Amino acid sequence: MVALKTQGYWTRNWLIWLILSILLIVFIVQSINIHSIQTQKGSIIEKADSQALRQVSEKAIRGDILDRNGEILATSLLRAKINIDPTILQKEFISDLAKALEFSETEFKDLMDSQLSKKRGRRYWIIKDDISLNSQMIGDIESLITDRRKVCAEMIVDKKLKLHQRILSKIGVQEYPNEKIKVNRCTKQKLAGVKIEKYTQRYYPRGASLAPLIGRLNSDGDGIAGIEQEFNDLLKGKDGEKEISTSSDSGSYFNPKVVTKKQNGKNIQLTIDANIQFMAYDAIKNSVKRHDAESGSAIILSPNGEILSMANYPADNPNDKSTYIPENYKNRILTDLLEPGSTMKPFTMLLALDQGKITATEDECFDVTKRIGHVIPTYNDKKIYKCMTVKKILQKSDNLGTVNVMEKLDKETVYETWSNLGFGKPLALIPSIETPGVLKLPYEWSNADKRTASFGYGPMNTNLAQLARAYLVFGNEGSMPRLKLFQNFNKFDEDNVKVFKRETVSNIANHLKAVVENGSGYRAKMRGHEVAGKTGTVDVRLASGGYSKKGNVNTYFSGFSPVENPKYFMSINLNKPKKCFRGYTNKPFKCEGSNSAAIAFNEAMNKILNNGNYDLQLAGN
Amino acid sequence: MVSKTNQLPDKKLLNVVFALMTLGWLMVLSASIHQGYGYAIKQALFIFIGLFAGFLVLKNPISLFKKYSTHLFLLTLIFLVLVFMPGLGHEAGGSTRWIKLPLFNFQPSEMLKLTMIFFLSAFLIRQEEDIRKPWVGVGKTVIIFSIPALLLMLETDFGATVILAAITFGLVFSAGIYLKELIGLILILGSAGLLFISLNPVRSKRFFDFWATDLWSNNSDKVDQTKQALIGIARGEWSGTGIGAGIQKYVKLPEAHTDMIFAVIGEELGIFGMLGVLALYAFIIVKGFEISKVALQKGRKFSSYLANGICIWFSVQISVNVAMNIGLIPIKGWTLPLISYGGSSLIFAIIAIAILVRIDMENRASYEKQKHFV
Repeated sequence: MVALKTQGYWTRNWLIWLILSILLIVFIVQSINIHSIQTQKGSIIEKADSQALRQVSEKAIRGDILDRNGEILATSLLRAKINIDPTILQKEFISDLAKALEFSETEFKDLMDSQLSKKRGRRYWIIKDDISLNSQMIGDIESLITDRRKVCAEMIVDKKLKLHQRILSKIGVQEYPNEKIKVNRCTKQKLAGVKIEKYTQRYYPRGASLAPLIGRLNSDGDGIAGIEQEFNDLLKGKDGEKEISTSSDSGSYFNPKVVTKKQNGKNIQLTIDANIQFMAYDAIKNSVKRHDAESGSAIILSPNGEILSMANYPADNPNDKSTYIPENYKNRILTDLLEPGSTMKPFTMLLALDQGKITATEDECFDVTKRIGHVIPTYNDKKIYKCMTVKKILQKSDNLGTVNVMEKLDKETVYETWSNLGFGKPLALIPSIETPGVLKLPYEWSNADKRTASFGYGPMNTNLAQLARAYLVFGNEGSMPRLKLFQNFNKFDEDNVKVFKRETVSNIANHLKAVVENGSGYRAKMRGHEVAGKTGTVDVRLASGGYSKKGNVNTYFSGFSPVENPKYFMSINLNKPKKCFRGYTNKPFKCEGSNSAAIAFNEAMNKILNNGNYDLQLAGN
Repeated sequence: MVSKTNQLPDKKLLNVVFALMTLGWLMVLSASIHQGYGYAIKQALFIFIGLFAGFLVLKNPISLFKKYSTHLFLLTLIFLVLVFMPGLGHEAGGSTRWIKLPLFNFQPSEMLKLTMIFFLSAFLIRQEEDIRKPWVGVGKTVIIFSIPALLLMLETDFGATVILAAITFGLVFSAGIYLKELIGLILILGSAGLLFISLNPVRSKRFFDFWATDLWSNNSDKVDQTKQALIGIARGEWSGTGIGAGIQKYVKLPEAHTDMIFAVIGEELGIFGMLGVLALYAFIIVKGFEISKVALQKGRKFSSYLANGICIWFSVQISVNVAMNIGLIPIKGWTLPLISYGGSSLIFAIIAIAILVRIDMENRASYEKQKHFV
């Protein structure tokens, strides 16, 4: 202690202690205070957040569209494209990059030079597109991107002064001008300017065959037609949003916080059978081409109302993104309003028989020589038929005979039955594109309207799906089920609508079998399978009202097979066929349901029925 | 010569130093990981070299340093000159401060901080009479300071010059020079510093501009590093983002693993981390001054001065580094002892700590042995 006092340790060192203590306090206060610094643009913490936090969206994966067997009809594939910014690409990497991109080195250099000589777009140059993510190329480039290489570049730096020059300039005796010299500097660098960009691409394995039903996406990934459009929100899901801490080009991020959770799109499973669809599409396509028609449609139903196929032609391949013609994505089965024509005759017969107004036996014969209202006899001159049985009327598709039957019914009953058959009521399958059809109220019906209604003109219009559904009464003992297009939603527990008696239906079904065997529908006949059905030919109604004088027609065939316990119901419509033939010769003839639509029916149904041991698994069966 | 003290090193002090070095190594790893593992591996190597050197120091009595203080000082001066030899010197960031060695670049100015303390302590004891006759001693001291200071200025190592001045001032002050002469010394050193700053208009502008304009309305590139350091610390808030989760180090904050490591600690470990580091340093310095005091009480002036000088060096180096990291002063190349990446600074800091520990061990040695110590 003596030494300490004599040295005066404290008297001198208190100053050092004081300074250090003050410094420590200042440091502590400042360390804490930094967090409450205010700048002109808000607090420093806000500034830090705005600099560090990024909102990143996570793309939801669009749901698939599947057929009844789970086969994919539309799916999103992950693809990649490679961007190159040739302005910052280091020359040390070029030869390996060219190799990875499957170019020769000179070819790649030429490409780069031509890109560099461009004025615009040279920084964002897509050199490869539409590559699979697990391809060799992506693997090679990914490993190249993580590689570090010695990269040398010329740099301009200050010329170094000699020691004596430096001393002189330091003490201000002499100034030396700043001279710049070029030096070659080498550093280890990562490959710059090459990016792999990942994106999803919608792919439709079944191509054009389903295009009008499923539709396609636009470049923003939103559906612009068909199911893709109608159920866009459901399929698309919701993109997630994440907040991450990141530094602009570090490539690393921390502490991700989920702002909105990503919800992937839901899958939609259709009742469609992709194989049946393809066969129907093929038949329709051939038929439209063969008969030089404007368009054609075919719908195939199973007896329980499940839609197995909805085929339309013309149709484009949705995988080809270069063009989009809305006409070729039109699901005419639902959109087009038709006059069903003679395909309605079976229902007139069904109703009359059901009401006990006719017997539909061979004994009952209707006089077809006298005109009723505006409907004149078909065989007026030749007098081949004085009277016709119900079977004959259907076989020959005689309008006057049908009107004879209709005369026995009152219009309220007809209206009620047509309404029970679902005409004029929406199907609610793809609501936004669907036409609900027309069924005028009975008080609007004139006598002429009632008469024409018996053979499918006049106060009712329909779409092809509604017509096909009405035929389901033949498969359900007179009841009509609801149509189903979706397997995993839109389920209605609804009883089938009872329209006709069981016996009535089987009676008329046998007459329809006769139509195919020995009537206007003979071209639909096929070996080894029983078919029942009805042809139809309708003059095209003009937008101005009245009917086309040019012989433009819509031809139909609606039928089912087998006749007892039918398995498939199919309705076909050809729009304005121009080339039809009589018999099996090549003589041109006026187009009718019998010589156009019936052939298409035969072609499609034959393929479906004879397609090996193809066994349809019906839901609920 | 008796070299054994029969005492164990101070456990608490060693724990604190190891804690700082471990934290430092982790922070260097975190701050440089985006540039690969090179820095972290080298830093680990430096720690081991430093520990080996420190071990050698612990085994030897402090009298050794008194005996060879002049030799070491002259050797350092030679190194400082060698820096300018073409082929030997290494230039970085516009300064020539390093001598090229196979593994790392040796920075003689770091060595100078320690050898200057050796030399000045020995000098002050030799010149005790002259110090009592004030102006002669002051004159000699200024000459001793000026020679290395001139060399440091030529290397444009402004930071080391400031530390050298602080060490000189602090030691002379501790040795008991009168206040009058001390004020004179301050005036001389201060005006020399001002002259140096005003000679170079760019430097003087940079020097004063920092405080002259509000940091956040100053769009100059020179304050950008400070702003980014503060933004990083602000991101950390109380407990930090967690080690490795800082983002300023990637692009925005240059020199994150060396000069700006305290800001990275602020970002990744938060206020708690910064205060913890300050507390550990405070412990070392308080302990160091206490060792110096005890040595003086036992009449071992050289050891006392030595410990005092080391504490002054550390306090200035830490204070300035922390001050520039938390935005109080402009940023210059200036490391944080025991934590920042850097071979020379780390190795000599460990050696300095080893000297403190050795002095403490000698303080506690038996009376019989004490007389052999200095």
